[in-house]
Amino acid sequence: MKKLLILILAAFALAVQAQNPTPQQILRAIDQNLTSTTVKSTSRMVINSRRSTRTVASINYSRGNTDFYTEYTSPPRDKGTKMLKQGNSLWIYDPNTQRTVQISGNMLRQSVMGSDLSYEDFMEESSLLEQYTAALEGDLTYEGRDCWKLLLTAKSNRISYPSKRIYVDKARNVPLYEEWFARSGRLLKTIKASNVTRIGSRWYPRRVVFKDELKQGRGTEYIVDSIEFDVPIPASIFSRTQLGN
Amino acid sequence: MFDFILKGIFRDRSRFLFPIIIISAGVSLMVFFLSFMDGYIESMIRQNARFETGHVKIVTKAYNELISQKPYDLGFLDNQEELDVWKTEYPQFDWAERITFGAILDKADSLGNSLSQGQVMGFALDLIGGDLEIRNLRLKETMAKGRLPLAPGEILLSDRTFEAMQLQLGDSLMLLGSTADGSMAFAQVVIIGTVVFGYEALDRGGIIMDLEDARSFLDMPGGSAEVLGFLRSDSYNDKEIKKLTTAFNDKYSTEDEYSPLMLSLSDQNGLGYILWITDFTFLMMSLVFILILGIVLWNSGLMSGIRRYGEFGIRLAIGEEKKHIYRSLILESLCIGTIGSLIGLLLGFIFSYPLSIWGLDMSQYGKTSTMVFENVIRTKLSIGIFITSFIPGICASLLGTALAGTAIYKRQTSQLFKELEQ
Amino acid sequence: MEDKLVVISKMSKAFPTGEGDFLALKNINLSFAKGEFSGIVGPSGSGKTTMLNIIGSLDSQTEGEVKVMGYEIKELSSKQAADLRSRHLGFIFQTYNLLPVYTVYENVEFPLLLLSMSKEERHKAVMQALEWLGLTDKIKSRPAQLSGGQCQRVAIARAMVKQPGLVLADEPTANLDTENSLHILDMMKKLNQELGTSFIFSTHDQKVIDYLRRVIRLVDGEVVSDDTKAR
Ligand SMILES: Nc1ncnc2c1ncn2[C@@H]1O[C@H](COP(=O)(O)OP(=O)(O)O)[C@@H](O)[C@H]1O
Ligand SMILES: [Mg+2]
Repeated sequence: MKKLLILILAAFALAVQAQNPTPQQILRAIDQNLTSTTVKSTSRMVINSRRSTRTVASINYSRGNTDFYTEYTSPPRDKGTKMLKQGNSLWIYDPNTQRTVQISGNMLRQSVMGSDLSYEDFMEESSLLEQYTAALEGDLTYEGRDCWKLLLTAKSNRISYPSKRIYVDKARNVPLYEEWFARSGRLLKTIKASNVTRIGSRWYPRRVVFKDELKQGRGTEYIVDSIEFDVPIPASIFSRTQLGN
Repeated sequence: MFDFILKGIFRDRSRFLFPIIIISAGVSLMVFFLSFMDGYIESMIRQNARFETGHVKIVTKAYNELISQKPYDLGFLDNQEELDVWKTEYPQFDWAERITFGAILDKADSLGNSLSQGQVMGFALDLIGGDLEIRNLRLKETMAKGRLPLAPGEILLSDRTFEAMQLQLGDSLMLLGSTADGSMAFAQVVIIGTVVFGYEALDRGGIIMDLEDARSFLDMPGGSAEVLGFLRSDSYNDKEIKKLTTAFNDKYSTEDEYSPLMLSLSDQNGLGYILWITDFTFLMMSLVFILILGIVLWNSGLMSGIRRYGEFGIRLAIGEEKKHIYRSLILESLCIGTIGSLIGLLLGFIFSYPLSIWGLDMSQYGKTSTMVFENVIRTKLSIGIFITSFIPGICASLLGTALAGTAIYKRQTSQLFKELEQ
Repeated sequence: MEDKLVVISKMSKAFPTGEGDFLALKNINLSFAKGEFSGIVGPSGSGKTTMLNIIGSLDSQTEGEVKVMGYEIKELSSKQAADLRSRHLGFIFQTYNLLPVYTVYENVEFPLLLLSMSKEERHKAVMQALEWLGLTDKIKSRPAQLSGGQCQRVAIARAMVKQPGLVLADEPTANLDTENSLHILDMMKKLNQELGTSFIFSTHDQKVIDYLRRVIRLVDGEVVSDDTKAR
């Protein structure tokens, strides 16, 4: 009888734990779902500016949380433009002048290709757990999905967004909605993820809309056309000398 | 009676000398000061027009909404045909297209490692096609090193930035920005000279680039952000220009947010306010002038009035009314005011005229040449200035006498005689 | 009644002072006929000037009546008073009061400018007055170039030029020596006789008193005697 009681209590405790993971556990789950040692993808960025809509396509490679390489494939004017990130450094290669320019300082705040994303946004470490501590603010239903509502606070003041609020799909560990704030508490960007599809063991959003709340406009749509995780990528891809070739 | 008064004034030196000296000194100072101020403000506005606003400026309506940010991406794209129409329609203007943009200037080693980098503000204008813009920006006067661009890819850089980035003339640098539609923009440029803008925001990182270079850099073929019109006659009349801009906008401005909108000089940069303030200052100066001179003349009027009590007394005895005597005093002061003011105008003209021809070279007082201010300030003589000086001269004389003359009323008639007796 | 130029009855004049009113003239009853050559005689401060000022409409009485040429002084507006002076009254002062910036001719012409007269008429009148007073050779002189006697003659010419009915002369000889005093007194007497102009003097000068036909003595603002010499 006593044993039974203990068993029931233990089961109950487990159930409670399953129901309510700690905020850190949620972050870890997201990281496990969205990052991997290497990623290769093709994507399109649909940039809605005040005057026109442009689509910029690229092939992207990443390794760990720090190395990142993109080569633009269209439109013609941008074709061949390459962007390489190594740690905290970012280089851009222009095929027309065949010159490489390093982007740093204030320039990192500038928009990439007129989109709602800055170079800094591209440079973000992908691991949430390493950058933020989380607090659970409750749960809610977003776009028909059961979500955790988390408030993330940056661990270091070198991180570009001191706080974020995110809604995380409970079942798939994918953030579906994010708000990024400035130190002043001002809302800078909102992010909406959709088309969450199963890729291998993961759930991955194929369409993300970024909106710079300081700009008027309809936001930038980032569409992942293909994505592969943990594929072998030659180390030369992430080398500086490769940029000019 | 009138010639009696005139004789009275001119035979009595103490009656006219002091007031006329005071009035003519005041009026001549006023002429000089006003013409100098007018010349200065006109120079400022003229240079502002050349540097920034034009006498008129045509932009797209969308650009105008954010004009302080100079959003070239909302500028004109490939509008040369349109521009040709405007040029023939408004031949009184010289037209100049410009683009202002932000970019990064990067000096790198062969591998692309940034050696030095600076955020710059680009001024793109027609440097190679003619010398209108070179004059407008006073480039020859404000150049510190090197020479003007002659070939594509050659640019001028703020001298301060040049030093800060430790550059050499002839250095080839990368310019990184974004095109009108947001793509990354790259251009290889050669620093061929440096300038001192005299304008903090630009000395911190301004570059001057030929318009065609900027068009290809920013992917705006045949386009521009602003089209500036400069009156060939250089004489700006705000009312007429306002009429002209209204007519232009009625004709060409449509619902389309990229349709053109013509702005007058006074619509921009708070210049309308400056024009207004100038008028207001002139008015205030006139009033202060009247007041100060009026008080001085009041006092001198009181002094000479006391000396003239005998005259007033006898005139009353002869059968004049106080009112009549008072009026004749006013008439006297009108004569003195007119004569003093005329002399003042003449003296003012004599002082101001040479400066209106040769000007005052401010650079000899250690002021360095800048793009926003001309070195030589010329006085500007005009009918308006003569009137604004002449009228206060007369008013001051009238005011002084009107105040001093009231002393007559304050005295008993018999009292005026009392003073005779002693 | 018709030939009464000035009628003064029960007239007093008070000046307000720090310690209440000061009565300069007390209950004066006097009248002057046309053609009189009379004088108000009294020591300094007795009220002579005050009396002439009131008669001359430069001041007004505080009590009683003063009628000059039929006009009640107290009731005249400033315009009417000025009119009375410009048409009918002439003034001569102890200190001449010529306008220093004008010539003799202009000083004499001055009163005529207030009357609507043509230039020719004025010229005639001025020359006539200067002739009476023997000043025709001084036309272009300025007062500063003249002697005291000459100045006073110019002042008399100025008073006479419009041929007023009444001339008020306030101590006209006080600044003159005997010879000049007698000279101008002769001239005034002559004008009185030839033109019938009435003269009222104020004086304490015995030479003047000797010339007067009628002597009114004033002491402390009161008439103490009023004697007319037999012709
Ligand atoms: N405006 C005045 N205010 C006060 N007192 C006056 C005024 N005018 C004259 N008086 C006084 O009235 C008196 C008579 O003065 P006035 O007529 O000038 O004398 P007179 O001419 O006989 O010398 C004097 O005592 C004088 O002080
Ligand atoms: Mg007296």
